[in-house]
Amino acid sequence: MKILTKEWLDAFGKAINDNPAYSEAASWWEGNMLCVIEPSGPLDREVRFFLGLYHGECTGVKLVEEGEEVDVEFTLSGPYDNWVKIAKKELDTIQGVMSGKLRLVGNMAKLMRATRAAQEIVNSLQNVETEFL
Amino acid sequence: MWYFFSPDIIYGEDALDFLENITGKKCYIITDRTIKELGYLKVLTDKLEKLGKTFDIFNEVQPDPREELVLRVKHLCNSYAPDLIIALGGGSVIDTAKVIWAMYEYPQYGIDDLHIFNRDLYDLGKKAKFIAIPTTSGTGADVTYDAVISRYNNGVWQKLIQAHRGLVPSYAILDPIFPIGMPPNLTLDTGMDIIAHAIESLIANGKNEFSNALATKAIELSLKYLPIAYKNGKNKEARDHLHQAATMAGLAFGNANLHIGHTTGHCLGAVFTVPHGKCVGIMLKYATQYCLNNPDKDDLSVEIYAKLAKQLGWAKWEDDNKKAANLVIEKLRELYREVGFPEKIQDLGISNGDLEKNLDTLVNLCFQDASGSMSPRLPSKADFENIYRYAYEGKDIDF
Repeated sequence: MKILTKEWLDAFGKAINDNPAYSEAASWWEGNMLCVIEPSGPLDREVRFFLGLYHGECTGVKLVEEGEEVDVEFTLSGPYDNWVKIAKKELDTIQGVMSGKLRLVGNMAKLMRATRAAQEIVNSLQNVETEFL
Repeated sequence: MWYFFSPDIIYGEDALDFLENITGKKCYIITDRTIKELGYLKVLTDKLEKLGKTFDIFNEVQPDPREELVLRVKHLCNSYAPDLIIALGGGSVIDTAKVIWAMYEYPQYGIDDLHIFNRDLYDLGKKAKFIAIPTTSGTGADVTYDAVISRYNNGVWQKLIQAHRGLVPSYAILDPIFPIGMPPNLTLDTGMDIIAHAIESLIANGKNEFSNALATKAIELSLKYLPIAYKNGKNKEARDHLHQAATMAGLAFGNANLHIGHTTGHCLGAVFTVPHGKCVGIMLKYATQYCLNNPDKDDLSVEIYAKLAKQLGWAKWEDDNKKAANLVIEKLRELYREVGFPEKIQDLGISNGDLEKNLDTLVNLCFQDASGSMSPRLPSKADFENIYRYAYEGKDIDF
């Protein structure tokens, strides 16, 4: 599936729900997330997608249109090339944020308790057949 | 890109004399009452007076420092307007001082602003340099970039881990005159913390060539000198080397992270109120075994620990890696027995019923502990439960 399409995003949401390790690690988590993929490399426009995350479940996914507002607790932004490194597990999500390759806005104290859950979201992505740009 | 952050480090006998080379005349000293009662504060203030430096003192830091105390010290420090901030004490004192330093440099910031994504904090040190002088050998707080502050929130005490590379002190002064007075049990618990920092950091997700070199040396020094310092606290050579080992291990884990030995240890300590060093010292062996059993063939834990065993002469270079790696466990066993350190949770006086009753809480806390995600092998809920059960009985991890 081509990355950042509706089909791919739906599969990503399903993969999160099919990952029991995410369900265990995030059983306490309440907080939706917006991922902002900034243009870089082969991506020439910004793409944003929403992940609904509540008590170990992905409650919904959605591509967010330009100008559309969504209610989220965290926003994770960065260039496409860095997102690809994370998707391919060449870059750890937390290390990516700490080294400035991705930027995160939200409650940091809460996020630091969710590093394992974040890792399991990325692990879920390994089960999505992804065709990169 | 990755990085290795470190203060300037001055170590060995009379290291405190280096203060004369640090510019700054107006010092704000942060410490606690015990340090004052032990006479260590006077050692420092005598030195500062001799060097013609003026000072003001806050000596009321408590273990697990609370937010309101930190905000009170912030106000006092800002009023004094120092050009040097000096922390003299253990981890709580140094953590408090890190936060004060950052909020002195940026008075508009509260504790919540001291997080890893705040780029301003790379720029600390314009108003004052920060000197950390550890009086115990173990926490590594003198060289690490995080500070743990407690906040009362919705009826419970919450530990905020405020972390930023900029919070690494400007200088760490490791003078063995200070840890020489540590009692044997404290020496042992903090010494086990050193070993846990070093052994875990070798395979943690942020491991790198710099951190691994320091971790290896810290393991060598602490295995040699911890038993000596424990049995004879006045042995200067042992104290000096153990003090250095603590800082090396601090640099290693500060730049490489820790993993599930500390995760499970933190949570055990929080639920059953057991000292940190005791918990992580016990859990280290089980966490290491769990990682050595990693079914992921791409994981390097066995190779890394085998290399450690070979470098330190525990194994021959031609030995099988798995066999050599397991010598890390054997070395820990030897150490536990030599110094009489508890090898299982049961030895802490916790009943099996109490462990089982609290297992859900322990595991939920483990999933929320940041170091847990830095492990090369990520435990499931059942794995965490079984790690605790095996550690309770002292059984080798066979899964």
